[in-house]
Amino acid sequence: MAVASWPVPGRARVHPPWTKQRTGFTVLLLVWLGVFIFSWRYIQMTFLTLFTGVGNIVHFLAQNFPPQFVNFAQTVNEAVITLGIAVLGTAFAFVLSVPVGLMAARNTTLHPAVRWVARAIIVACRSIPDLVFAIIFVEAIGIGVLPGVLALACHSVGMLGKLYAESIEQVAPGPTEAVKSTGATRWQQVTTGVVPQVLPSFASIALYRLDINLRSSVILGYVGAGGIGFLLNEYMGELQFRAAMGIVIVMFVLIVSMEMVAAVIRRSLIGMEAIPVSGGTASPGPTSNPWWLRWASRPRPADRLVARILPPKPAAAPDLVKSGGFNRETVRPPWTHLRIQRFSFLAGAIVAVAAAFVVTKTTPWQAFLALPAIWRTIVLYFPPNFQSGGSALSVGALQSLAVAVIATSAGYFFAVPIGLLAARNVSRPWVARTTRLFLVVLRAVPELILAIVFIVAVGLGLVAGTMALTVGTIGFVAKLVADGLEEVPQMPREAVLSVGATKVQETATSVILPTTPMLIGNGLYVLDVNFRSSTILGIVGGGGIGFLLQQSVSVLAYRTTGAIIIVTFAVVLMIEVIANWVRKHLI
Amino acid sequence: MGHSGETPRLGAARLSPGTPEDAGSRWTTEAVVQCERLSKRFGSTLALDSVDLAVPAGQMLAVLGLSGSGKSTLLRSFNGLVTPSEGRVKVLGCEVTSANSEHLRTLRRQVGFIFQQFGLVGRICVLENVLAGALGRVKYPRFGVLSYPRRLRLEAIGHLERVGLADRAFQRADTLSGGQQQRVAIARALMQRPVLLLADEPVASLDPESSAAVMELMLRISREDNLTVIASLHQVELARGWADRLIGLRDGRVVADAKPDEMNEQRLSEIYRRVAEGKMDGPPAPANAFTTALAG
Ligand SMILES: Nc1ncnc2c1ncn2[C@@H]1O[C@H](COP(=O)(O)OP(=O)(O)OP(=O)(O)O)[C@@H](O)[C@H]1O
Ligand SMILES: [Mg+2]
Repeated sequence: MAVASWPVPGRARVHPPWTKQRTGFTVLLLVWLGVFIFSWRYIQMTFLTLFTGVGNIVHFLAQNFPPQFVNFAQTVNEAVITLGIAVLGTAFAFVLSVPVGLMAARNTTLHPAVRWVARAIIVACRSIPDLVFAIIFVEAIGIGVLPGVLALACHSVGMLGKLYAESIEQVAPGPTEAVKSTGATRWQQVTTGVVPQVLPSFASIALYRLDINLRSSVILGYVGAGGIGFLLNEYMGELQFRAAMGIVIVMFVLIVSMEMVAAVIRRSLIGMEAIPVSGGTASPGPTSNPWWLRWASRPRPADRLVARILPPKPAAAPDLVKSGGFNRETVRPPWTHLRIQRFSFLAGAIVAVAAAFVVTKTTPWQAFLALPAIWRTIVLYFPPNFQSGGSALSVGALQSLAVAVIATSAGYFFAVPIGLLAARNVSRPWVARTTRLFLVVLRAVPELILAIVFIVAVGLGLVAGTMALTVGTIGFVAKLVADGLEEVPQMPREAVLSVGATKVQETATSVILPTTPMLIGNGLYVLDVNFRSSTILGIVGGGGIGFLLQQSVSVLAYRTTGAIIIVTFAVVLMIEVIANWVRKHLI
Repeated sequence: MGHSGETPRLGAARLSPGTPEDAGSRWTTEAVVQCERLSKRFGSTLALDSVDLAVPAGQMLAVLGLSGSGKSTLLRSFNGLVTPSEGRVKVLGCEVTSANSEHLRTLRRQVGFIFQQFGLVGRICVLENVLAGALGRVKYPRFGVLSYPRRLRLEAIGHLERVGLADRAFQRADTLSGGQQQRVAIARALMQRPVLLLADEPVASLDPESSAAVMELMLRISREDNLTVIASLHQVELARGWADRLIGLRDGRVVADAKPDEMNEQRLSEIYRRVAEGKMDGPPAPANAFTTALAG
């Protein structure tokens, strides 16, 4: 069969040009590969031990089965306190983050200098892990619930403040300018023109943070900051593994139920959000939301479940009040559906915070009274002593960084295929559903528990820590992959299929390719999260800089601890700067 | 929060003679808005080029010009939303160019500004948007309708009645149609109890029918309340219908200034002259079909 006259390949350029972006991208991948190989050898990583380790885990589980609920009442009580700590930590963080966010946003800050201070506070809060805050606060005010609350609050400001500032900067400028033109003061412009526009996203971001804080509050008990982690630590220390497993199950139930409740609340928040656009061009709408906001408010499996249980609501119920809907004498707003919803949301939040104060037996002013003691303790950490550890400090930091790099890479390696399985537009529905369920379960296990499991499997050390973080990364990234894949538009897919591509070719070209930039963009963010977590895992025996931290804390070497904290801070800052640069120039 | 919370108005001072430092200049005292050699530069673009203008009290002035000719910049510099690069602006006796923020706020309170994009806060209800017009008169930030005193709420309902939207008082502002939103914006301006109304293409984002209705409403209210009006517009015929005076901007310069009946074809083509015919140095600004037809 002679092929007639296809054009003969000439000298036309068929190679894509080496643009700055493409070069940068290649260099980035090569650098990452180099760092990965270095890290792998540096901590002598291996996944082989896992195969023998699985035996250990099975053996361990079999030996300690069934789980035991010793003193169930106390366990439940501690679980409720843990919940209370998470709620209070988030509430304090909210109260602190609103002013910090306002000052950090370009359009509402008082002065550029103030803006830089606010941003510095945000970065500092984010780069110091909550566990480190907890250690400092326990030192300052003693064992109890308050240090846990304050630790969560301080660390959360790092995320809430940043996201709040970003949503304030996203606000449509028109309404604010119009309010300004009526002769309003600066603060009136903010409260009337900006706040109503950002309040719903503030609430949903705080809710999302509550979810994270509940997971972290589980570990706080380990350092004496109250909650259920304290019991876990105790039982593990006494080698009462059955009791420990009972605790783990309670934690699991707590986290999953929190996710369910959050899904219900998010659902009603979205109901309030619905904007029935009719003609007007007043608000450009939420189409330009940044990735994190879309990501934080993305639908989750729990949302779907809730949607199935609760009957669907008619979309967008505009507040149609006919004349006579309000009293012309008093001019008070009528109790419309929307207003009732807003009020119940507010009341619910207030009740939750009040209940949290009651169950944790704390009062708002205790936090203020603790400030002098905290200050006296912080002073102890200065000036930091970089000498006493010798090279241990830099070795520890490098180890933790290596752990984070491997966990991120390996996590991505496993997460992409799992994500493909979990995406409904790529795999079969039942496979997708099962994989999704698996991911929910995986994500509900705190990394602390994962670390303990892997320590049982392969012994104390960096390898166990790396494995725990890898699994944590898989749960997180696989979801990101699956959600990203499901957002890919269908149209190009059919076009690619119609040229006669196989199903696999088609998936590669039209589904995976478009999601790649998002995945790589998030890669450095995941690295940042993993580095902070690796610090935490060191405390339960995962090695690295966290191990040094735990040591220096236990011998009360404050100034050495100060040095460790500063090194951690520097590394997180470095990752953040690199991530920002990459996101800006290469993606 | 009652009467005590209100700050004094500049009203009485607005026709007072200028301060001694003005003695040498040719400021007239009757003018509500007056500017002298007003220029505004954004980077390399000269948005306003040495504009001289005096608008006496009660006048209804239409500002015409192609897109990018500087209409918005001119109107915005009258209430200090834009700070001029050169020249002086005096509005209601307040020297905008040198006013501190306190004086600017007092001025803005008396100047209603209608935006092309309405500038309503979408998430809050119509009444609260109207009440925002009273922010210059009350102290402290406000959250929600109930944080304003009842007296102001009643007044706001009254303004909504004037624009025919009292029954929508508690509807979310972003659920209204464009024409309704602009009427709410007018009610908000009325809430300021303005002496001067600046309208920057108030009907440019509306369909012909609702633009006629909104324009009609705005002008009727202005006549009733004896307001001075400066409105920028694209529709020449619409402007001829109501304005006492029309000025035309081109590349930031005033190229025409006439009574409606004096605004002939030749003067219009001065404003809307098509790019191909003229000797322009700036980048061409696209005229809309209507103005092109008029100019051609
Ligand atoms: N904030 C700004 N920054 C930079 N340039 C600006 C800014 N505002 C206006 N300009 C420029 O100044 C010139 C005049 O703009 P202006 O908005 O006053 O025109 P206009 O007559 O209102 O146009 P339109 O009919 O499209 O509203 C334009 O070239 C515009 O690009
Ligand atoms: Mg304009």
